[in-house]
Amino acid sequence: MNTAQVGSMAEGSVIHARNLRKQYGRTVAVRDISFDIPKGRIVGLVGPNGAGKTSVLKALLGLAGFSGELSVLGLHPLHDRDELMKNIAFIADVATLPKWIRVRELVRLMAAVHPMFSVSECQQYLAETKIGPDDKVKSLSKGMIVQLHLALVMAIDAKVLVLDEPTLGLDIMFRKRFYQHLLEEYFDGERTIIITTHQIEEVEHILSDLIFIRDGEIVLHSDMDSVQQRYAEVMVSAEQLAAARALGPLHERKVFGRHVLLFENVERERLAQLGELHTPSVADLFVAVMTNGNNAAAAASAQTGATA
Amino acid sequence: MINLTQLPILIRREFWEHRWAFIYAPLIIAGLVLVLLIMGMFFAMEIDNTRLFTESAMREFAANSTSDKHTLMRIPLLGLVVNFTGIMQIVLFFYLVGALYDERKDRSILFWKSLPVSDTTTIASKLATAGIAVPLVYMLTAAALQLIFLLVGSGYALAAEVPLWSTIWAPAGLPELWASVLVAIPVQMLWALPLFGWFLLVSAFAPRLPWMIALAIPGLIGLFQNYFSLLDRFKLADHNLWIIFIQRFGEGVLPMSFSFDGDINDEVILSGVLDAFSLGNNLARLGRLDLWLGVLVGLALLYAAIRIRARATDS
Repeated sequence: MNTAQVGSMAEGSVIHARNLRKQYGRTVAVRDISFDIPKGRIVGLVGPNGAGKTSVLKALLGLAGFSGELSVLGLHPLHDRDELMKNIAFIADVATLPKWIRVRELVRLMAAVHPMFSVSECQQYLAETKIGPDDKVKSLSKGMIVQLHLALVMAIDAKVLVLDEPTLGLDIMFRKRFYQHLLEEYFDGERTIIITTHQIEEVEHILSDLIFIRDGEIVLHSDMDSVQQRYAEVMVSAEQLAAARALGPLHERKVFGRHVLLFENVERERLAQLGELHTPSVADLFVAVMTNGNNAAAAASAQTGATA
Repeated sequence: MINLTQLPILIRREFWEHRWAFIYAPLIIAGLVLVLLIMGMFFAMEIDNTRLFTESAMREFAANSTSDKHTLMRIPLLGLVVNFTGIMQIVLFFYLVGALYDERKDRSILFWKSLPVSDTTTIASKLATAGIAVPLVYMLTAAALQLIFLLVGSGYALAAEVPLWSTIWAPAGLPELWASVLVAIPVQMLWALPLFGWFLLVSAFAPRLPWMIALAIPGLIGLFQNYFSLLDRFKLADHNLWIIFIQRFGEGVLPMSFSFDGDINDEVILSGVLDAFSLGNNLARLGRLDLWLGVLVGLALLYAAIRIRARATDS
């Protein structure tokens, strides 16, 4: 069955999902979603709380059951979790390191069970922090625990790295350094990275792909270049407002008394006549797509149909 | 499949987590026993009018027949073991019911599952910890105490000018005793496998209070069995699950407790009780059908625990 899945996968695809579904009792957390993530991408998985992000990630990581077809690196996540974990590193959430363990015990354990773990790399990362080898996890501050976990995970030579809210509780200095490091040192074009975070503005410049998820469905799946081509924001003066609205904006907001309208698939030349044109930030796009569900969902399904 | 190369470090990890229960607890027991031993030496303690730790007592002891000396020597030597096995049973019970429960409760299961370690290997490591590694530590500590006890005895024998070998070391029969204990450890694990499997299964699914659920389910089933049996046939149930459960606990091959019925000088009863613990008897347990039935039940319970752990997350 696995070989059949591998055969049907798009070329270079690391994650392949068809009709992935997750149900808790009668609540459907993930509704039959399909997507492929090719090798060498940095994908932002964005959605409001309860949208099903964590359910998708848990299915990918073999942490929870699911129905539908799903293969990660050609493996079934639930059945082959131990094999899969040789090539995937993840932080599923902050504060999951056992409280009783000492730092040197953790490093020793990782070195013994993980074929892709590098002790020296891990120690390099730890040297940049105030974490000592004899410290117990429970004696560390929240931020230090995250630093420790990141050091462990980044020292794994993984093909796929999954980061679920990786920088929660870290100060801005460390967050900046971390993402910079992630992009410059860790990411080599071969690895695939999936990130979920609420601080989307901090990661948008490193992402290559975006997936928006709402109510268990993918409402947008696109690479960043297409996002920049498809979406445009225009700052419109009051006189031009009616004309602009006639073009069917996706979303409208007011900034200092001026109207900012977000358009999808409208020619840039026409928009440029209305006012100052620029590319929307992911956060603005997110708000627009999430509050303006129906047409965006239709557009997204056309888009995913095209990429699949 | 079980990844044998990962087992040693995973067992170590269990010892890191349970340092107090697995290492310090036996050392504390040993310390307490040593204190009692020293007090006995200073106050020339008496048990049943027989003075221990005096030169005259040592001469009296040396005058016994060879087989009597052997029997009398077994009492303190196995008594030392019992100090450890009792506590160990309790430690293992709480260890196993918590083994797959605590990781869900503190959410560290998300970290453990991020390692390339299968659920089967994980559960095998917990079983090997409870069945082999911890008993080895406890029994090694008991063996060290036995040595200390015999060395002290040797001191008195020298002072009393009785022959060391035939008074102390030959009757102690350490090689046979230690071989019996060493064999008893894996046999005990097989004997207790249904219990271990049950505790790990409860640990894998219990929403809270796993130790209570582990006892309450067989307890309530036993109660209902008796209830319906009394209604139906006016007698207690023949195969009461609770009784079977308790017997598995108490009737292992490692000496768990002593009950001397009658006089301590009644040699017939004494030798009967003490001879039950021997290399031959421990091996003979492997020929019993109820042991292997238990192994089957235990494997089924462990399989269920593995399946549940495979789908377990933090919530």
